[in-house]
Amino acid sequence: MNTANVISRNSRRTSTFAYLFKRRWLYLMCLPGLAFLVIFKYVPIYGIIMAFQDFSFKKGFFGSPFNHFKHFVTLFSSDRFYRVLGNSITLSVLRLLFSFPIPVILALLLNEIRTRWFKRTTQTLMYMPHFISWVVLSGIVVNFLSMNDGLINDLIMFTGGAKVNFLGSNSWFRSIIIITNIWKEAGWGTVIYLASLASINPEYYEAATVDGANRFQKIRHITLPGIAGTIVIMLVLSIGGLMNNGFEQIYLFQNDLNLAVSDVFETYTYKIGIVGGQYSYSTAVGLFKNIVGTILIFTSNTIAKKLGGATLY
Amino acid sequence: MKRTLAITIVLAMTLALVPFALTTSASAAGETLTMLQRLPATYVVEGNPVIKAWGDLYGITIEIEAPPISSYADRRNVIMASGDLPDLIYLNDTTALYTQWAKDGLLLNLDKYFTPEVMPNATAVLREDELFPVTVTNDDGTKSLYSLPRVQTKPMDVIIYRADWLEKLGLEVPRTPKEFADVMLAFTTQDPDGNGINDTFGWSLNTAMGPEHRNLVGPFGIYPTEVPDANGVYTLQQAQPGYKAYLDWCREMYVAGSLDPEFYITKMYEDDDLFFAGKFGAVYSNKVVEHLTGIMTNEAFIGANPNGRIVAGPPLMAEGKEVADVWYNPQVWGNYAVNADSKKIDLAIKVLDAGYTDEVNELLMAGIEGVTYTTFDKETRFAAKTPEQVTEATKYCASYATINYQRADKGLLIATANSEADLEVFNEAQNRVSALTNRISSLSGSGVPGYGDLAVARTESGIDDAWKEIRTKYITGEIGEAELEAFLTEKMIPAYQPLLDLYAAYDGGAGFNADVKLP
Repeated sequence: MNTANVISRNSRRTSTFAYLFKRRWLYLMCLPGLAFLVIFKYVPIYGIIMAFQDFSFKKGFFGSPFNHFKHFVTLFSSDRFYRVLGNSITLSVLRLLFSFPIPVILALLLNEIRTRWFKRTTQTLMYMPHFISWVVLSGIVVNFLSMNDGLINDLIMFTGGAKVNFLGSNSWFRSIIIITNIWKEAGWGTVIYLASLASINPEYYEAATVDGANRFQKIRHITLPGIAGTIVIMLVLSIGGLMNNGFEQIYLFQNDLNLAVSDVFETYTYKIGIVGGQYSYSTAVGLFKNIVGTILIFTSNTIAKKLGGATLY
Repeated sequence: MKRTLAITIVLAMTLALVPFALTTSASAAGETLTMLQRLPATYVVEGNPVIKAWGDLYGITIEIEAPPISSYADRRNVIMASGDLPDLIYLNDTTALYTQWAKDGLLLNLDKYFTPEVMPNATAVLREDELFPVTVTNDDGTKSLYSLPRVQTKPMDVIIYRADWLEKLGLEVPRTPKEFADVMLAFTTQDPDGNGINDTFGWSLNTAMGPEHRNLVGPFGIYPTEVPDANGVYTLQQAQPGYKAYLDWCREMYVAGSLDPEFYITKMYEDDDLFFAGKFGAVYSNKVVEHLTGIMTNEAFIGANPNGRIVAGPPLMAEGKEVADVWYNPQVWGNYAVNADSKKIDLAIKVLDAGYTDEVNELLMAGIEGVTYTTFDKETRFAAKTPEQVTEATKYCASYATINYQRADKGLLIATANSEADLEVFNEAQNRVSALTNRISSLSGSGVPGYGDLAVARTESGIDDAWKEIRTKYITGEIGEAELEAFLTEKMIPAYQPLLDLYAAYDGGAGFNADVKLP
């Protein structure tokens, strides 16, 4: 073996240990978080074996018989599955199109506010809905949109219009979901972009000012390129979550009249798994959803890499 | 300093995980019987003297976990899926899930325990028809008990109306569908609450709790799917001749505005909430006579309607008839099972059996003398209470807490009668509605072998959700008769045909509920 290579490898190992030792307290503080992640996120993954079994609680994971992909055959031959798939993707894509840019725009706007107290007050007001549960928030929205004394319908009636059935309509369901999602989460979503904005060197702005750049030019040529990496990473993560619509919000706004568009994977697996007790079948549905999500995240990351932008890995 | 801070933070974060690990071991210590029960929000488990007295009967501690009523089924299902079950479980399910849990070995087979020697009280009280819904057909064709039913036999189904609204508008308690529709319209258009605005509605169709409720469907000639006609033919309820007339009746009220325009967003008991708030003039879903006294003392109702009064009306009856035909299964209000892996099976069996005695029944319903009541009349089952005892009784006693609600051969235990006046209200309504009701008894189809498997297949197909969508759209006028008929003929009936065949093939082809006659 080449002596130089051995020395080089040993030297690398020494420097890694030195690095870890130097930051040992930080790594020690990571341990509980890592333990949490391993225990609650990685260990339960073995449960996906249920998707391939006729699972019996008594026989457990190792005793339950395998069923030759029966649940997947049922899944892919079910009309309902394709409706759920279509609804999930449509809603997610709409969410991505309309909800994703809002925190970026809000962060840029906040960044332009010069009065400190006004900026902080605005930020606080924008963050607040994030801390309201969907149950409470949906109650507020229902009271606004209801045909029985709802504020919006009262206003429509006041202006001579006819009542609109916002809550029991296929055509309004997706709009309500996206708008309420923006209301609740857009403010909170600015946090990561504001952090990214804070990392841009102020000297760039000073130089641009000296060169006579106006605000829009500074945003276009300094701010946006400065946070482009963060935007791309958030976009890649969002695309990875394209099959996820969240359970609570959809379930709370779901009713018999909007089922055609509101039946998504989360509500489907809830009804099949938790309510119907078909745990193996709902695990198969969940597994399918997560495989698609994983493929999407790898694909979008690869595309981002090829385009030369920031990537997850 | 930095090192101390880091070690402190790491220790704190690690210790925060410890309670998760200790939860199970802490509760396993000592002679404690654990239970999962469905209890009302007003019921206080912690420090409850009644629960303590109940445990004292056996020299044990009874530890109760009580998820909220509204999400009880979800929480129970999660607990069942976890495999970490309490000793005694209130299942509140006699359908496909129950069969699945039984066959999966989660529940103790009670066959060898359900004998006069081991369970003298339960065997003395429970009848064959009451045991039918909890009897599971094993894979080898034999039948077994995996839970025991909580039976309630006496209370009459009623529709509850705002008596003060009826009086103000000069109307009588309705009896027929037409009278009901007229009264609901008057409640909607004639400002019964006198606030100068037409902001009230007649009623709401609670699609979550009773879209085809026995209080409403009798006059349309609708009968249970599991009952054959005179020719021995089983017909899906939705395909019966009167069903469309029933939907049309709902639809007409929807168009007229007397049926809550947003009935389809009602979840669980939200129609009750709106009735309490003075928005509706009637509620019908899962209402029995004893709810009268409960509503009369309900704080939300009194707060919103200080002068509000209520009255019980009978289930609706057909024009020209003097009594309402009400289809009635043996009244099983949920069921209790024992964890098959419990380390205290004998104790659980003992507590379960004792739940069928007067002593335990009265303790859980009426509570402790001097604490939750002053005197208890065993004949009328009435517990007299001081105002303070009413408060205590609300916290510590509940019909929900009982193992068996009442025995068929006994008078009614009244959960909410706090005064002689309450008792009179109850008795008057019970007697009046009884005289106007023709109960027709049949068995629930969920006990038929194979029912569960078919129910699972239907759940996976989503046919029931699709039906809900169609039904609601028909009532709201979004679809017409042709679309309704097409759905029933092409999708709904074929999806249920295997179930109809199952009923017909029951008992070697004799048919299920074969001895039951249609009125």
